[in-house]
Amino acid sequence: MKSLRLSLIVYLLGLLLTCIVSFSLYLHHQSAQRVSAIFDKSGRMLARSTEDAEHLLQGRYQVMDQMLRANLDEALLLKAQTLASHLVRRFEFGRDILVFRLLGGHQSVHQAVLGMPGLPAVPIFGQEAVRWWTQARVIQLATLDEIDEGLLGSPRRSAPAEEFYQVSSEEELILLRSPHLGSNILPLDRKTRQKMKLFQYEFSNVTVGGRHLRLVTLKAPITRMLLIFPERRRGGGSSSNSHRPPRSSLVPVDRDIVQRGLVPTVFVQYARSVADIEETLAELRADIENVRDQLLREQEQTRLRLEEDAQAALASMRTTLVLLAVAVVAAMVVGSVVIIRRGLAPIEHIARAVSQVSEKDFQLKLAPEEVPQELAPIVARLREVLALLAAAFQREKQAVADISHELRTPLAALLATIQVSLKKMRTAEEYRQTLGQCAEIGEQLRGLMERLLLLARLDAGTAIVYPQLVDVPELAEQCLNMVRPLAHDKDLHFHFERNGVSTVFTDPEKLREILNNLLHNAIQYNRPGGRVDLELRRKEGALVIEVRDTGIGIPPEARPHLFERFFRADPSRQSDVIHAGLGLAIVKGYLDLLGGTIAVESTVGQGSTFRIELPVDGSDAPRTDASS
Amino acid sequence: MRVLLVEDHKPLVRALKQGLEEEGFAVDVAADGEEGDFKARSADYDVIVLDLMLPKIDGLTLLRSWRRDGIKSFVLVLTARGGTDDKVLGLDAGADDYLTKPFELEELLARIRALIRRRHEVKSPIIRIYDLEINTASRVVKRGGKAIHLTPKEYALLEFLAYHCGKVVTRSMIWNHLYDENDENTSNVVDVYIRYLRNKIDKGFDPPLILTRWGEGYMLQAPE
Repeated sequence: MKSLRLSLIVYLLGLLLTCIVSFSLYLHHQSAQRVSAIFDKSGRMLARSTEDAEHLLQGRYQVMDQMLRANLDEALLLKAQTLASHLVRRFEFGRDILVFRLLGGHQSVHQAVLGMPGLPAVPIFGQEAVRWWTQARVIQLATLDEIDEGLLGSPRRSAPAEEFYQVSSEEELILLRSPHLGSNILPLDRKTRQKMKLFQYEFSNVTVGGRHLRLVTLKAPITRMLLIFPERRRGGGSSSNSHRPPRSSLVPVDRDIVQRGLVPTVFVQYARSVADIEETLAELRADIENVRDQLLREQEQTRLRLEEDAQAALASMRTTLVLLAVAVVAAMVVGSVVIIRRGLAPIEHIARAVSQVSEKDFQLKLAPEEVPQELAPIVARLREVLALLAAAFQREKQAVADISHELRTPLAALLATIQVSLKKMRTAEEYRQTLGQCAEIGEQLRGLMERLLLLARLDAGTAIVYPQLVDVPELAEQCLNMVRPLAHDKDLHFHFERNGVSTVFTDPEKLREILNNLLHNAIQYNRPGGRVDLELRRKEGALVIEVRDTGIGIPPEARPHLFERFFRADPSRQSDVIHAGLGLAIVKGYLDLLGGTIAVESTVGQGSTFRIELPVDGSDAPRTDASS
Repeated sequence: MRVLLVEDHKPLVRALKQGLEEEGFAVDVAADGEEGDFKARSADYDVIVLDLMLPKIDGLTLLRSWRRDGIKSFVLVLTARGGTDDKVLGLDAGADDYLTKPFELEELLARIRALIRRRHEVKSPIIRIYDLEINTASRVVKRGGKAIHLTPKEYALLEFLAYHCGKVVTRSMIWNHLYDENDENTSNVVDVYIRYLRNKIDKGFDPPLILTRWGEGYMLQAPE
């Protein structure tokens, strides 16, 4: 990203958005979980309360059911017992008549029983007679419907058609039955009959003629037989599963007698339709169902409402969160822009200060208090670089001016010479002279160009070293011979020390150039009648060449610039020096190329010493790998 | 007119000296700042041609010290530095004109002539005195419409007299302005040249324009 400010804002907002979104999601998730937990719990509570209500209703139903059935049973039993006692009374009455007749007349049993057909012709007595009688009597009774009326304690009219009775003997002979039973018979299976004991009763549910009936079957004696069978009273109950009827007119009979079958018994059955009870119960059940349905509906509604409320609450929270996030983001956008602008202000100051830097003014116009601590190193480094740049610029400017000067002056001389010569006709000798002067100036220009080119090559790194085995003393001798005429003009004396140095593996032309320049300087800046020393020696893998003069010396402030181009310790110029301030720059460039160093010692007014050190192997043997 | 040439480049000095002398200037030469300073202070040069890059004392320093010390010679700065900054620096230091190397010889001569006119508060390159007409640019002299051929020395003398028209010019003034340091001062050399000039200017014309003031010098003056 190009703009620092923009990228900071974007990153900051990205971070913020991530935080807000994750926080919101987390919050939302938590809330949703909590709401759903509450929702579940209330749902469970609701379900449980519904269930409880249902249980309660169910319980009530069961209680009702039991109560109704118990009442029915009790009523049935009562009626059965009443019927049984009535039968006994009737039977007693009949017996009394019989006894009376038996006693009063002389009738046989047959007659006594009013000449009933089918009676055995033989006289019968005892139990047998009773049985027969009983049968006959009961049959007789059965024909007499009126017996039933008071007996059952309810007027015939109102006697519900749903109530039935039936009395049958042990021989399965139906002695008596409700007239509206019609052709239906209340069932009495053999097993029950045999199993039942006297006064025992049993309830059962039966279906007769498409009606559901509650039936009680009671085994009861038909007579007390007190006269026939002496009574042997025993207090308390007779059997375990029967209880004494509350208003029993029956006199308890000795068990043994009964067991012996001596007492004639009948099965009194009384049934009643359970339709009404079942209807009531069905209604109740229906009510319960209704209530349950309602409860369930209500529960469902409540649940739905709860859910709606929960969703609404969540939605509202979501909205709030989104609004909050938007508000926070908006605030942060504005805030971050402001903060970042403030934060980046120093950078802007620096940028403005840097933009004011020009080639004319390399000063960074920036107050120290404007620079924050973090940027201080950058600014400091920038100042250093700018200072270096300013120096380089100044040097460059100086160099251009110098080159310009060095080139322009000979050119001006050339032009002036030619133009003067052309102003009028000259003699041949004069022309010769002019041409000679021009050639001299041209030579000077050529030398200058070559040096400038040489420096350019050194700068570009295209200068190549051609190392070979060089006899250094001989080369030095040649150089000395070349400058000897100059030295002679100034009346200088040479001293040359070889110190046993012989051959070295290096580039001879560059070494020659170095020596020429140094010797030339030593002569140029020497005082008349002075001396120039050239010394060669070896020092730990290096060849040392020293050139000493007795010249004007170099002031200390000039020494750091000594190897800069066009620099001259003497600020004024001597145009007859063709080196034009490039000599030492070339020396330095060549030494860099050869891997050597140069050092200067100088005392103003006494002389200077230039010391060159060229790296060579310890031996004088030629090396093949010493190329650059 | 006498010119001081302060320049260290010997071939250039040689050419300029010759070029100027052939135009009738008396040329003195200084090869470094010290010598230039000495000569500028010891003679009244009409124009000093000053190089800025000089050995020993540089041109700007010289110029400033001259202006400070009231040396009134016109200075034409001659240098290899062509930048505006350098021109401003040179002119502000007291230079009257500026010429960048390399230059045309004719331009240098024209500028020197212009400086000389300024020195004598003359605007036109043509000086007219009665029926005498001197074109300082082309160095053509006419009298009564008739062209008169003069040697450079004669012309220089006439020009010098014309610039001082109506004023008496002493022999030493003439000497100082028309002869360089190497000319040998013989007592009557000025008189000789005045005679030559009269032969060419006044002979055959009337009235004579070159007058002699006994005991003082000479004067070029139109008749009243």
